[in-house]
Amino acid sequence: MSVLKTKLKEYRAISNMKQGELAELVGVRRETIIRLEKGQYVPSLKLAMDIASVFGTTVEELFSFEE
Amino acid sequence: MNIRSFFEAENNVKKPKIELHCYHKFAAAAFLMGAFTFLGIALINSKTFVVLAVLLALAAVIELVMTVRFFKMIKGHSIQQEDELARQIMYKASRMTAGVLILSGGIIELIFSLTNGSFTIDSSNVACLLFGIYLFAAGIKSLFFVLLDRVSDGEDE
Repeated sequence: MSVLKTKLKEYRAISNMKQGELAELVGVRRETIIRLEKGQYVPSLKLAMDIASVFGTTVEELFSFEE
Repeated sequence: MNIRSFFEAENNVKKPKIELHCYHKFAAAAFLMGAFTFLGIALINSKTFVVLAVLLALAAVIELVMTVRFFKMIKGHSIQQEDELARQIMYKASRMTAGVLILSGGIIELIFSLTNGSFTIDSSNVACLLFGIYLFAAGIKSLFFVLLDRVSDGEDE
């Protein structure tokens, strides 16, 4: 079964951005960002693209699936 | 002068939001209290009058205090909108609520058949009974949302 891996926390640290700030930028709740970072939630394409555009990177760079 | 200004607050500042999680915590408590009040009203009869009347009066006072506190809490705020994760969690909570309703109905039937108990449903109490069940379902749904949406402390940042 594939597991979602993200580099969200690293990108947030580089940008010095809090979870709440990122959540507000992409229009979701802080709880959603927390679960994304823990790999407990698979985001919709739109949300993944919005987050990628906040950090100026690509969806593939931020999110990946591992077996 | 713009006529809309009579009806809208002059508010260029973004209104702070009540978090959805926090709202559902309060909603669960309020709905469940309301449910027990209306179910109590539906069940009240000459035999149970004194006990239920005292309990219902107590519940009414608590609900009044909660209502005042709730409106004080949300004054000048808006409630956070559901995002995609919240919608998924709410859907899951709804399905779990349906399961609880079926289960609790079965348990009540078992209790009544074991104790030979019953109560009359007629035009005087059917509305209270149905509204009480509606409030119970809403309260359980909010409660499940809160339980499923929990994150551990210290996860911020």
